[in-house]
Amino acid sequence: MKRGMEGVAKTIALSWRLFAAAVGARYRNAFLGYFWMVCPAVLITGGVSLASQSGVINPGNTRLPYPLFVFLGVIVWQVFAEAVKVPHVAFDGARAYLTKVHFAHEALILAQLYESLIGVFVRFTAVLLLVAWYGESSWRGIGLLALCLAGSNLLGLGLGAMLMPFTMLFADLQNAVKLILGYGLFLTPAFYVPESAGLLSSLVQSAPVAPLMNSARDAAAGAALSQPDALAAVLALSLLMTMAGMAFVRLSAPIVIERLLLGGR
Amino acid sequence: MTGRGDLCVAVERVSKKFSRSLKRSFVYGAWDIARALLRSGESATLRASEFWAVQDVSFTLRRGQSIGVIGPNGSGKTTLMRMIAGVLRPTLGAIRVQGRIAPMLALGAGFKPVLSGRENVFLNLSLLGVSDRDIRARFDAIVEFAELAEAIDAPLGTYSSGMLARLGFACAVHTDPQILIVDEVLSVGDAKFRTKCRNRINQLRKAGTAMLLVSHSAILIQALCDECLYLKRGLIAARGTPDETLGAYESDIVQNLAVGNAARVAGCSGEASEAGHSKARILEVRFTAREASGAGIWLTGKPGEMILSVGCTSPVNDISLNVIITDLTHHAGETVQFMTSHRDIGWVRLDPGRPELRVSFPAVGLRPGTYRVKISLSQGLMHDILDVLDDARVIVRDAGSGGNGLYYQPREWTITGGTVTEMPTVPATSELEAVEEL
Repeated sequence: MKRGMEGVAKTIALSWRLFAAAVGARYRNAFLGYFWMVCPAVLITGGVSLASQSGVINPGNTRLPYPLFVFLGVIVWQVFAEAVKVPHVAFDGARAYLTKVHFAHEALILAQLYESLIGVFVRFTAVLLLVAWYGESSWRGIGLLALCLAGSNLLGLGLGAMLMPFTMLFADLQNAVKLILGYGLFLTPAFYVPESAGLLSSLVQSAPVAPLMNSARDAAAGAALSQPDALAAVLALSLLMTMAGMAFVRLSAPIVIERLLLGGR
Repeated sequence: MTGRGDLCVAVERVSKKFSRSLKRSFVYGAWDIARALLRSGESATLRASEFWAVQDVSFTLRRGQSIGVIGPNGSGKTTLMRMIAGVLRPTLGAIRVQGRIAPMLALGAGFKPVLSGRENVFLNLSLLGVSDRDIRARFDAIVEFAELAEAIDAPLGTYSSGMLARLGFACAVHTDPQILIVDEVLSVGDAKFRTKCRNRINQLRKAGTAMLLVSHSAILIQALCDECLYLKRGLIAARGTPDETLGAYESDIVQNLAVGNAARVAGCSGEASEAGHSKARILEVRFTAREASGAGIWLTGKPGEMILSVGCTSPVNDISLNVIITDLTHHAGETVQFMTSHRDIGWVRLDPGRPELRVSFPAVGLRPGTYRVKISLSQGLMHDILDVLDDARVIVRDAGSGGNGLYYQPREWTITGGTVTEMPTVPATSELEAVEEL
């Protein structure tokens, strides 16, 4: 038990060290680090809002000002998509030394997670600013927004951890994942409220990130949660997936590393 | 007295399989993950394109002990070391390790070029499992050891390769290891720094650090190890004292070399006769030394011979035997000897049948190593080539007279006002070379 705790402490210490090194390395290369995190959401929001104003898109009954509605949806999706990439990026970036020294591989993912949390934090700040701009903020709303983003992050992390061993082995799969993360946004209620009962509509509403997006909007509107059960289910699922994903990484890491050594991708 | 507590590494019936096909290996990887999920363990049978890189290897390494691992390329030495270092997991069997390993296979793991030397020291040592407090305590010693006091805050990208290697080595030896894994010769930095590395390794060993040394160098293994394993195609082919094991290894090499020489002779005579130059053909070449155990070996400082058998159908005049010896060990490709019989003794006339040309050296002057011997039979001053053997090999071994120089200087010692008492028992190889190589 004591050794186990020491192991955890060591892993966390190592993950901080890796994180510090990665952040140190990154911000020596780019000056606009934070800007790039929020920029895509701002661009998409601007574009879609213009489209909506000119009647190209019919968003349905959004309750919120449309730009805020879109921005929240895109941010929740972005946090999810970034988190999915975390385990793969962590392992891919450590190729050079994964095959040389043995260490707790969880530290790699943790370090990458801290990096992605910076992104979550920056996006959260942007969301708060926009919510304040539209003048509809409350402490309850802020807490709920944070919960939605955290859930989105964990959901992505868990999924990414489960996919990582396979995306490391098969480049095709990694490309497919990238494609889905790029365009999957359109299969979520990020831009509109699906109201008809068609196949697409039920697909969009059953996306695991949908309850997170909807709840974030409820929070911003200061309204009661429209899908409390779905939100609870997704949050529980995200916790479960993260834990299962980490265990899966632990199990499959040696098999993946062996293939890295063979001079593969 | 060695008890259980002294055990550093226990390798128990360890096997490891790899796939020769990259694509298949990725598919197998996915299957293996699925098997691991079902907890059914890895299969002990080979699937298509798989082979055993290491097979059924067992040994123990105790505190203060030093084991050498020798074998040709692709015999599984590095795979075995990676399994001990924990990077790879054995397919079958188990490895138990007690204590921290400093794997010299991984100098500078995790180094990032944009970060400073200081940040990289922390990063590298954290990866090697050293706590922040210990890193801070050892930091000054590391910088001093690496001789990088002035450059430690500069980005690593600005370092020369020598500086990088020094920093990597300094980090590795300051992890307070109980087990050292040294793969191949450590040629880090300049001569002065190499001396320092060697002293540091000696210091660790005196303090009880166990060592695994992977090397092609018999000299190094003889000088530094108490036990030696000879790996051949993943299996332990021989084990025991370095002398015994190296003997088995070398006799294998020499045997392969003799087979290779015979094959080359067979190949070249066919070619030459097809080309129509069949006046004289090389039939056989042998390298012998009076005191060596097998053919194909010369001993530095001892008499050696090269015997060439030639096939002639009719008498041929104005023949010269030309020999070019090229170094393959020290300065690969450098010509070290060029001899022609017509300059030494004049033209040769060969009678029909199977004449023999023999060149004898009272003392072989070549230093220990492997050499390529190019032999040609030519005719007349224009050197019409009658036959060529391009790629014969000879191994030169040390016979105790010292193989550290560029060449062997035949010599006689005379003592006046004193006497020679007795011959000390030293290993056939000198420690100087081992030290230099390290």
